[in-house]
Formats: sequence, C-alpha cells, structure tokens
Amino acid sequence: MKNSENQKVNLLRYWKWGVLLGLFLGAYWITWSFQTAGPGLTEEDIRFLSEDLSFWKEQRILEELDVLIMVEDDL
Amino acid sequence: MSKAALAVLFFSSLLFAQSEPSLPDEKSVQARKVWQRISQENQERILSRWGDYKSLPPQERNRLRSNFERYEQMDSKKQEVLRRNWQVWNGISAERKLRLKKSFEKWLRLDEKERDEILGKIKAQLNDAPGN
Repeated sequence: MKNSENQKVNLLRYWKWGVLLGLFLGAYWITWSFQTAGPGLTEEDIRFLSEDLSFWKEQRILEELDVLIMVEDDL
Repeated sequence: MSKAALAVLFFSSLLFAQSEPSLPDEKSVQARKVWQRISQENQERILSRWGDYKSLPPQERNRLRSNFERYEQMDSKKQEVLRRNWQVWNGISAERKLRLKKSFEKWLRLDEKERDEILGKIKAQLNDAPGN
C-alpha cells in the first residue's frame, strides 16, 4: 500500500516535469516559427513587391515612353 | 494540480495548432527561403509596399498584378528597355509627367493608321533636318 502511494507520488512528479518540458519546447517552437515564418508572401508576391508600386502603375506608359516623347508635340 | 497541468497542456496545444495550421507545402517553404535571404531593410520595404498594395481598390490591384505578369513574360531585352525608361521617367518633372500622361491617353485613342501618319511625319521631319 505504501509502495503504491509512493509510485503515485512519483508519477505525479513526472507529470509535472513532462508538462514543464512540453511548455518549454512549445514556447521555443512558437518563437522559432514566428522568427522563420515570414509574412506569408509567395515568391511571386516577393518579386512583385521588390519593385516600386509606381513602376507597375506606370508600366504601360513606360512601354511607350520612347515613342511618346517623340510624338508628344504632334498630338 | 494534474487537472491544471492538463488544462495548460490542452490550451498550449491549441495555440500550437493555430500558429501552424498545416504542414507548409513546397512552394511556401521555398518562399520562406527567399524571404530569409532578403536583407532586413528590403524586407521592411516589401512589407510597406504590401500594405500600400492592400489598401488599393481591387480593380487597381488587378491592374498592377496584370502589368507585373506582362513584365514577367517579356524577354530580357524588353525588360531592360522598360527599366531604362523607368530611369528616364524618374528624371522627368511632375508637370511634364502629367503632360505625357495626357498625350498617352490621346495616343491610345488613335488607330493604327493615325499613329503611322504621325510617325511618318516625324520621320520625314528628321530626314529633312539640316545635317541629314
């Protein structure tokens, strides 16, 4: 009877250590995933945003700029 | 105590599950790698642009995306021309930019024949210029 009580006490003690270890690993894992997750952008998003947004805004005019400078007085 | 410990364990598992809902696919793993190779300064710039982009109306967002897709499909020579024109554009005053934009709108309204006429006229003027 005394032995079984001792075992229970020991089990309870291991439980606590298990939970503490789990919490520690969990906290470490959360920190790690936040540090390495990135903002959730795709590679395409990254390529798109590596350029100034004005570049994409004015792209059409940029495509024709040479001609446009040449003909602007005649329009 | 064991109940409290179980409760803590339960809530922390919930938290883990929320922070990483599923195993990342190959694409997002690749995107993470690309992201981590970017300097912090550029990461901040990209995030700021992302915010600006998100605040645009959907139609404008689509327009920018389709321009980006067009650019990606261009050959490198055309991309180079575009980049060179971007440098030129950045050196132009705001007033002139506005004038050019108006001219561009006019240019877009012209049909092929009218455009050819104007270009032909300009070519003729260039040929008649002294020194030619």
